[in-house]
Amino acid sequence: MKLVEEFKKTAGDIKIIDKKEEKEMYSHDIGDVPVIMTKTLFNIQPDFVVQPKNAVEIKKVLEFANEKKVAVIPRGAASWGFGGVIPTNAGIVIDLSPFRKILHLDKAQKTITVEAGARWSDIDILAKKEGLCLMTYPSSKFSTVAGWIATGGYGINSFRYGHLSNQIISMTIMTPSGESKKITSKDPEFEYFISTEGEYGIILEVTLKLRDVPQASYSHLCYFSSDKAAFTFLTSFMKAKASEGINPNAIRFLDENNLNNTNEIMHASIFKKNAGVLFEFGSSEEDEKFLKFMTQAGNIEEAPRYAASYLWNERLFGMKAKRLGPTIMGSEIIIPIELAAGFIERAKKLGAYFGVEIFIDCTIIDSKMALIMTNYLCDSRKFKYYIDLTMQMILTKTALSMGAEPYGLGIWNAGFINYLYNSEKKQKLLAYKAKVDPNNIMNPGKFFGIQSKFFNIPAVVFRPAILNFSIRMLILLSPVIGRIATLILGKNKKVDNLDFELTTHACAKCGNCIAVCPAYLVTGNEALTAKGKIALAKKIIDGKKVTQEEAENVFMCMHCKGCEEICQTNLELMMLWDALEKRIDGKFGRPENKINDFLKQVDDSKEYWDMVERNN
Amino acid sequence: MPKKYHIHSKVTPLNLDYVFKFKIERGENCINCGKCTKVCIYEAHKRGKDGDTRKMADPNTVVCKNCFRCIQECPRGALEKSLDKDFLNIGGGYWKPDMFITLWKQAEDGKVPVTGAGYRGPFTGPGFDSMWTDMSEIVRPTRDGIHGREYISTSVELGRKLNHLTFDEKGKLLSKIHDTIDIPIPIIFDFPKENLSPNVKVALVRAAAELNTCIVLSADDIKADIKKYIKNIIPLISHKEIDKHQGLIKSVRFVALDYDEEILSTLPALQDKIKKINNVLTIIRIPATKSVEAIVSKLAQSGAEIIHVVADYRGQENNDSADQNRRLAKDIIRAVHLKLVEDRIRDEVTIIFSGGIAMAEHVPKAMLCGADLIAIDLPLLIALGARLYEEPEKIIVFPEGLEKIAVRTVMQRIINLMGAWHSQLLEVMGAMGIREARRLRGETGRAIFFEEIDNDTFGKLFKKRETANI
Repeated sequence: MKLVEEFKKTAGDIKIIDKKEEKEMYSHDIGDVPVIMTKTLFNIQPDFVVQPKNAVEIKKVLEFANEKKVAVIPRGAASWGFGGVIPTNAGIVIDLSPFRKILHLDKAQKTITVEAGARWSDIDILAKKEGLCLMTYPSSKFSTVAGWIATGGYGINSFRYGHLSNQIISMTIMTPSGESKKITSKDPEFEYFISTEGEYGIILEVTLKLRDVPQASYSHLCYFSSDKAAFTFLTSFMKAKASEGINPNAIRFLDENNLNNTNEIMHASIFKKNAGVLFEFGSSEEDEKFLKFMTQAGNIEEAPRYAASYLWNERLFGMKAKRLGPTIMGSEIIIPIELAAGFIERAKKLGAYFGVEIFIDCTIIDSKMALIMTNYLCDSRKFKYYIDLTMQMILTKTALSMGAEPYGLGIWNAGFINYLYNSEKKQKLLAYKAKVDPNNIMNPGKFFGIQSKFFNIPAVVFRPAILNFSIRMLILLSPVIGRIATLILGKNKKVDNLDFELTTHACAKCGNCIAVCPAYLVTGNEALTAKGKIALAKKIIDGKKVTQEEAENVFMCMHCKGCEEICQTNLELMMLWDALEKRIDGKFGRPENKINDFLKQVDDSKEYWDMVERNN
Repeated sequence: MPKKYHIHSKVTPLNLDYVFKFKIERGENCINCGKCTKVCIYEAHKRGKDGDTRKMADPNTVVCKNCFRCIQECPRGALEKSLDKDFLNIGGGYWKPDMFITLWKQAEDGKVPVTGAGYRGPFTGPGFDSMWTDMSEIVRPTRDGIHGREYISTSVELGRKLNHLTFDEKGKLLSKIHDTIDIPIPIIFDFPKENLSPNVKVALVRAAAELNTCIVLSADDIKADIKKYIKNIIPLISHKEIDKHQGLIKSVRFVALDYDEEILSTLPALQDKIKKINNVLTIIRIPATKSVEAIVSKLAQSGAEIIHVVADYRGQENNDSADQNRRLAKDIIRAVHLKLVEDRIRDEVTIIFSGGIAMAEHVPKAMLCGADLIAIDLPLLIALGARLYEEPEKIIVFPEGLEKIAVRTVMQRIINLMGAWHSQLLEVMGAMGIREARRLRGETGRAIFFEEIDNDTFGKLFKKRETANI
């Protein structure tokens, strides 16, 4: 008997997704990883997906998984690219993304209690109506709360407010055995649920600290002649920060290539071709202090205020450059500020060997460390992509060997675990894992070690010792390999205009659209979202077989334009939907009854009207 | 007490293009959420753009009552409302665009339309607009009263009346009492000069019959298809053609004669001649010229039974001088009325007034000024979707396809219009505390004239007030 059939016997009315086409959405995350590395090596297709509505249902899933000893993969918005939500050996995906209610806002205590799948954006909108707002939040603001607790934690405003974990008052978690408990940051278990990528259980509810809405936003963009000059300035700024009491909410470094990409996307030259450091302050007093410091520092060129404000407002759209790609790759590492410039210089040199242009997006997370994203554009449709892919590892490894830490492990960085945890800490983590998850059901086959198909032989490549050795070899050889590859396959060029096909590739799969999609809100079906429809369009373009049922999903759309408004890469989605609908209409006809049922379902949904009002 | 007169209105939409006041436009930022369909109680917003039920259709502005709810409630502020261009262009200085909407809606369901947003003034203007009717009795539960317990009669009597009765010593009545005819509303339909399509003509006649009132028609227009309603038709003939129309006169209750100077000298003989054919009432139809009151007085003294004073379509005097030198309906009627009072003959003759009667309130106002009843023409056509433009010259445009509308529909719309007007007449009378329409006539004590109170109040302070700019 199939696993799903067995589960259905005891499932009650838990929402289950087990159709092949629909499950497809749940075997990927944001990354554009070629099939050869996913399907070939791993069993990425889950046995089935569940969308639980409450803790009782989640418990049922965990008990079933323990009994059957199958994997459970918790999933949020899937906007992280390291494979944290990709099944390595099938199993059950628990999609917590519809589990997204905001439960309680305590105005006096300035806290908010939310379900795991609550979107940061929704929390912020709701809190702002009460004069409160988020402290640290991710640049993918449309991702889920629990998702970011499990994977990241350093983001916008972390310079001022620190890592997300500082703002968690308490969490209700469910251990793999199905026991739920409320833990606070003082509990010893607390650390096992921060950035541990779903290895120890499932986060159910979170109570977060909020802050008062700041007076206003004051942003400054300072130009520097080189990346090195910028980081030198930052080092001196950190000293002044302490003595003068300057307290920006956020500091971000963007190199000239990054700023230039923004220019290219806008077809304008707003930004100079210089390295830039962006500061943001929340009050005029803080702003004045900064200005005073700037006068003292002397001779620092500042961009016009509008340019700085634009850049600040675009902070949530970090993947915009994908329009120029259509693929964007990169490494994410945390490195001491004084080493950052050196690393960036090396990264750019490596990029040049491979004919790719590295652009940097760096968030200063505290007065010592920088979270650096080393990005580059490529094209997943081309053969060179397989070579470009290895760049990611090369860049990460380069940073790590210079004294950086990986920012998350997932599948692709699992080989670098020793750079993140020393052996004592790792042993401690493993011991706790063995204790709470004896059957190893929680998100197995990654993080601690890769589990693959074919008797786990390919996974050997990901073993720390082997991976690190081979990448080190690659780095050494890259002047040769890279140059040869570039000579044969050419340099990576940017694209200017997006046709429909390119649009489907330029989709960042970031899931912003899912957060705002009314069709998803009501049906919980990711295939109805922009992300889902783009996947369908891709399938059609690739000439793959599409069933009528699957195709008809495109019509279940309110045409609210929400996805287009929020799209990271600014895709012309409404035009795409019209074209797609026309195509499917031509092939299968228009399912009028189904559309009307859908409209009725939306109209009857309280959540839908809440969403409409919330965005008022 | 006779049975209450009631007009049976029925909702009768006319599916033709018509002007609407408010244009609602849906912006590009509409998210098709459907909130507007929920909040609009008039169904101006519906789903189904080009047959796609997921998208919002263009707003149906004709039904919009300007409540602004959709504008306020739209979560995206995607709806915009403005005055429609066609609306602003229609009519002119006298026939205000709003009148068209009001008449159109009255014809739709016989109800008194409410426009939603409050009226912000001005509260006075030229002509009838400078008249305010007394509402001292509005404190009574009129709405319940006038349509329920209270009996208010809107009927008027047409014909010659005696100044006084004479009796012999034995107390026997000596005076011969003239015949009069009662109609239940102080409104008759006047012959519209426009080229009407056959269905409209028949419908007008049938509506007049249904309402128990009359319609003035040119004798040539009385064809076989309306003969059935001949009792409600007033044929308009020239006094020279009385013999020619003998047959017609035999079948009607009234006959209307176009005035010319000859009539003034031959009137008693003419009326006798007509009376010999049939015992009908004669209406002398006279244009409202500068000296109309003198002519009316002479006619009355010569024994005229009913005199119909006709102003132009904007209620102005018929002469060639500039607009500001032409009297308006209010002043024409008052002049005629006062002249007759002065000559002590007012009660003996019936005065019909027509021209520029556009709104329901003009009926009681014209009566307060001194008319016994009113004749209307253009509102009947506007009720059917006709558009009137005053500039550069008077032009009436009928909606396309009107000629194909069923007579029953057209007729019902006329009936609805009169129903709405009748209700308003009851309201006004109820508020004034007048229970019989015939008592409205010349009852200027129940009206306030702006010029008069303006003069009373400020005249002493500003001796030569410029009133032209009011």
